[in-house]
Order: sequence, then structure tokens, then C-alpha cells
Amino acid sequence: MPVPAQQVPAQQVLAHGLGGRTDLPLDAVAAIAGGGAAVAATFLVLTVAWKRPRLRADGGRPLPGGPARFLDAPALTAAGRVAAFAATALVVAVAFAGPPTDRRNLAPWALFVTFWVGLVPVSVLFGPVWRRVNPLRALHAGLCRLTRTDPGGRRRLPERIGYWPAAAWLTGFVWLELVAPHRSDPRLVGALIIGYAAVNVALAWWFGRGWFTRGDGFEAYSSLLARMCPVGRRGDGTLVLRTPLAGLVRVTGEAGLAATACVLIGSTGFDGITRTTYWRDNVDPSSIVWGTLGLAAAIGAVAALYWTAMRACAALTGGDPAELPGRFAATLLPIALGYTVAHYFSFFVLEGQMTFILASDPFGTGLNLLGSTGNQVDYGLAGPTLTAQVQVNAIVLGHICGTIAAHDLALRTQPPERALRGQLPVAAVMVVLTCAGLFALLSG
Amino acid sequence: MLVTAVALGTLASAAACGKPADGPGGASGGATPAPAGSSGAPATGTAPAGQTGVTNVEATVTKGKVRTASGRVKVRLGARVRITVTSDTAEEFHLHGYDREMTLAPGKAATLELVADKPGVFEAELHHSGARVFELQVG
Repeated sequence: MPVPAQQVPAQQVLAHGLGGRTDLPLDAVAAIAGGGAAVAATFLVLTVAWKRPRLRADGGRPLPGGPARFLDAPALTAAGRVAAFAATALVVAVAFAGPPTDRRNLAPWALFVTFWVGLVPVSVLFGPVWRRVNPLRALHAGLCRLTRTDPGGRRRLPERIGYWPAAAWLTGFVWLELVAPHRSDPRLVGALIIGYAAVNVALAWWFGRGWFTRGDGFEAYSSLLARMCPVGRRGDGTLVLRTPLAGLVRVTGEAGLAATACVLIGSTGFDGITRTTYWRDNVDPSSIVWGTLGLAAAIGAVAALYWTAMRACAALTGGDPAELPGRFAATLLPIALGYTVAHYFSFFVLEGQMTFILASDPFGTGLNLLGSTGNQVDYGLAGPTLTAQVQVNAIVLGHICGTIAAHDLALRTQPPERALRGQLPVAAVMVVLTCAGLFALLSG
Repeated sequence: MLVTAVALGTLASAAACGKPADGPGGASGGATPAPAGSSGAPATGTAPAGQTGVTNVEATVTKGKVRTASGRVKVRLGARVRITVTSDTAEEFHLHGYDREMTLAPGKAATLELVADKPGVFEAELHHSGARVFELQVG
């Protein structure tokens, strides 16, 4: 390729799309055996000690007036919207007008680390934050005012579409993050943000602002994670402090939710697999074909495992095999969260520093706004021991929480004498997924 | 809750800005493009024997294909590592994380030395072809 090296970043084969550093492999055998045993033991304990449903989707203790008023304050919403819009605008501007390589331009770091990974802790701790500040919603409101269109849209979005658009967007994003060539090119990042915004605002203009809820991949992702937030909203709108798993046990299934969870779990697993020496020695890491096939296979394998377990469960309980996968889909979310934390923890803490280091001189003009120009990543913030502990605990706890939520939901929706039998395939899949997840994420 | 949020935010932003780059004499390069690590001397490709505590990594690139003894080089934290790369075309060698680079002239071996003081697995790649040369596992 006769291109000057200074202008086009080389095709890089980096984990999570950026950085070039990954975590040390762990003692995989011990972690896998321990993790699998912990999940199996959880299931056994549940069968003895948890015999009636305890999680109530509409439960929780109302927040005291002060905090509730603060969280619901319109001023907080306005401030959040302005901040999110300004930050997005800055990232796009820097993507196009800033330095040309990812080593000096903050845009790829802001997208792949700060936003994509940062969305997870923020949503789990503070609720559906992105829904509240989503800059695309602001753009849409502006467009509707300009074109004198009802923000409610021109056409109703069919209910059966559900989370499928979000599943598709997220698949596209993880493909970009894990497979696409030149993904860390700042100009490409800028173009993709604008393209994504344009398509979603146009769809929302047609289908109404409700599009963003399940059609905008990032807002849907944030809102799904927020179901595990200890602060939630009751049916009547009251803010409550609740058991984090209570948000997962809704009886009615939602279209595309299981697919969305499978994309999240499978893609993280795939990223882990590509880090193993086995993959590295046998597959050309820059091959788009192999990357795409591997990603599809990983997502497909998770989906196949889940659907097989649900079919077996339906056969054992006499439930409707078409209905079960949708009903239990939300119980996959803690697993997806566990994988995400395990996989991205050190990436967020270490490579995440790059966004702020580079923000000190966003346009490469020699500024030192934050006093951090020229700084380097402080690898001391997440050492190998801490990282390893977070990884193993996140994966095992994720599966344990998934097992608890699925067990509780089964007790609620299936005849009691059959519920236990029906849980066997689910428990088996949880153990298999725990071991596979630990293997994919932790082995060298 | 507000207090917690503010404290978290402050902590995050304080921790997020990295640390000042090492001085010119530091063992690892800074975040800004480090002075090229290529030694001008015509290295022979084989390290003089008898030097204890130095791990030698050698790689040869011919027609875009990389040949190394092992795809992943494992060293202890704090070990000294000497990397020697020979390419048949002009190339730019880059070790991620440590951010060390060297310019490769066709057919000439280039060498850089470093102290492996950051734990993790780091990629070494060629910037023009994008080929992965090896991975350095420290820890």
C-alpha cells in the first residue's frame, strides 16, 4: 500500500479496537473449575432455599423527597443534555479537524473506551442515563420543529420490531470494534458518528421519538443495563430503591431482547478468543473474513445454547417453546454485564486515560488545557492482581445473578412442581457458559 | 447521592489524566512520539553471548511474512529485553504500550532495548503492512 504512514494509520489488529495492551492470562484451569462449581452450587442452594418468588418487579422502597426531587429535577436533565451534546460535538469536531492518527486524536478513544465502555457503569449505577441526555433526541426535536412535524412520528412502529434494530446496531458496532479495518482512524470514527446520527434521526422523524427507546442501539443498551440499577422507577413513576435483580423479572417477553443479549455476550467472548495464542497462531488476525465468521459463530453459539436450553425447559415444564426465550431474555443481562466488566475493566481504567490525556490538546495545536498534554498512561491504576480478581468475580457473579433471576422468574411463571425440573437445562447452560466465558476471557 | 456523584467524578477525572511522561532518560518512551529507538550501529542480529538477564527477541520479515522463534515472548516484570528486527522492505516497527518505535531500512537489522516495567500483553507490529511481529507478555 503506497500510502504515507503519517496520513493513514496502519491496519491494526488491536483488542477492543484500540490500545495494543491486553491483560495477562490467568491460571485458567483453576478459574474455570472454580467458576463452574460456584454456579452449580448456587443452583443447588436455590432449589432448597428459594422456593417461592421473592423478586418483585414493582417492589422497592420509595426514595426520600430530597434525593428524588434532585434526580427528577428538570435542571439536572437540561444540564446533562447540554453536557452530552457539547461532548459529542467536540468529539466529532476533533475527529475531523484534530490530528490524523489515533495516537494523538481523542475521537477513537472517546468512542471505543469512554463512551462504549463508560456507558456500562454509568447506566448500572445511575439508571437509564443515555435516554435522558441522548443528543440524537435533541437533534430530532430540532428537526421536527424545523419541518413542523409531530415528534410522535408519521407511522407507528410495529410492536414486533421490539429490540431487533438495537440488536442489529450493536452487532454492527461490535463488528466495527473487533473486525473492521482502520477502525481507529479518527476520520472514520467521525464519519460513522455522523452517519449513525443521521440514520437514527431520520428513522425517528418517520416513526416518532419512541424509535430511540429500542431502535438506537446505545440508548437501548444503556436502558437494558439500567434494569440492574438499584434505583428504579415503579409503574406509577415513583423513584424507588430496589433489589438490583428486580428489574429483570418481567413476565411478558420483548421481541429481540434475547438476540440483543446474545450479541453482547457472544461478541465479548469472541474478543476474548481472538486474544488466545491458539487463535493468534492459527488465524490471520487481520483477516476480515475470519474475523466476521468468528464473531458470527460466537454470537450464534451463545444464541444456540440459549434457545436449546429454553426448548428443553419448555419440554420439561409443558410451557410454550415459542414464548420462553423472550420471557427469560432479561436474565441474560447480568451475564452480559459480567462479561463486559471482566473484559473491559482494565481497558477502561488504563486506555480510558488516553481520552483525557489527548483532550488536553484536542486539535494538536500545542495547548495544555488540562495540564496533561504529553502524559502517558499510568498502568499502575489497575495492576495484574486487581484485574484478575475483577475478571473472575465479574464472570462468576454475573452467572450467579442470571441463575437467581431465571430461577425466580421460573417460580413465578411455571407450575411449582415442574419449575424445578425446567430449571435444569438453564442451570446446565449457565455452568457451560461460565466455563466457556472464563476460558475465552482468561486463557492465554 | 450528589456528594457521591461529585466525589466519583472528581476521582475519575483526577485519575484519568495519566501521569507525566518519563524524562528523556526514562526506560520507556512517552506518549508523544518517542525518539526513534533504532540504533545506528549495524547490528548483526545475533546478540553477543554471555550477557545475563537480557532476553533477546529476533524477528525477520521477508515478503511480508514474519518469522520469529515464538509468537508470544514471555518475560518477567523488570526484565531487560533486546528486540532485533530485520525487514526486506522499509518499515516502521512499533511496540504498543511501551510506545517504542524504530525505523527499519531494507535488509538492515535494527535493535532496541527496554526494561519490561509494565505488566500485560503488548503487541509489536509493523506500521506499513500492519503485520503483527510478536506479542510481549510481561509479568
